[in-house]
Amino acid sequence: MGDYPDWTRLFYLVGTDIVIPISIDAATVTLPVSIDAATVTIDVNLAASDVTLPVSIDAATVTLDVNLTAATATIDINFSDQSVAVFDAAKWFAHNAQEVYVYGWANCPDVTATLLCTRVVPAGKTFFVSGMSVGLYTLTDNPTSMFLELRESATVRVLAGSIRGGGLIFDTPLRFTAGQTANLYLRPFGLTATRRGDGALWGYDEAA
Amino acid sequence: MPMTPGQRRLYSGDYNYLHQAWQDDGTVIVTVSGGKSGQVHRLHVRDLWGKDEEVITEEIMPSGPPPHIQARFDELRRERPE
Repeated sequence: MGDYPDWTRLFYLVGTDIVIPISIDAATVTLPVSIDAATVTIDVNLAASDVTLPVSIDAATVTLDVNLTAATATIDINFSDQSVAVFDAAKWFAHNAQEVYVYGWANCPDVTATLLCTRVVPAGKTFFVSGMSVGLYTLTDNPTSMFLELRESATVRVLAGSIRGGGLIFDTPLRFTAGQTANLYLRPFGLTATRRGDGALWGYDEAA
Repeated sequence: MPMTPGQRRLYSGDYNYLHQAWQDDGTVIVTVSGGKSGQVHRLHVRDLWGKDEEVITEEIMPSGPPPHIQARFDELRRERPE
């Protein structure tokens, strides 16, 4: 800091109605607020029967960055208005058609890998697979083993073995890029006849 | 051949749910639902994702609540004070 004298200006206003209009008419407006201090405290306390804080931004591009770097940070946002909604990630995915469930079934002969469900990742998307499951539709057969294969086209990416089927949640989602095919295959062992197999894979899309 | 509306959905990703029933002849009945369109498309497809992919039939299925439930919803809406 330069060696300048201390500067303090106190605004102390008392009145029945106080109006402080700020009207700026210019081609370019810049209102920089730069505070360099050991400690910064900015308190905004509004106590009134009605509070209105409109923020209206009309621009071709809007960027609102909030970056917090602190040992601890507490952010409380409380809404008590049913017309206000804050989406968590899962709801936002559903709202934006980003949450994806793929389910299918097929008649599965013994030993053969049979395609249960498949998805080509749409243009402009990246598909993250976070889980897969399988079951076999039979009352009488006792398969000795099953392979559930998640493939990228023909290449096996994940293989899960079981006897009766089941599900698997990936703690690290598998990534498929636009144009790639996620295929879920079931390969049963020990069947006495072709049986119906059902399977699903699920996850979410993100913009590529 | 131009894509059908259901095919366009498959490749644009405007859906949450993709259901497939594989037939013994290798064709598949695909049902696409969820997403922003609000419609349910059911397609019978030959060579899904393949070079010769062909939509044999396609239909738009009813979506939303059954008619008798919707009628009750409508009645509630009419009774609701402005």
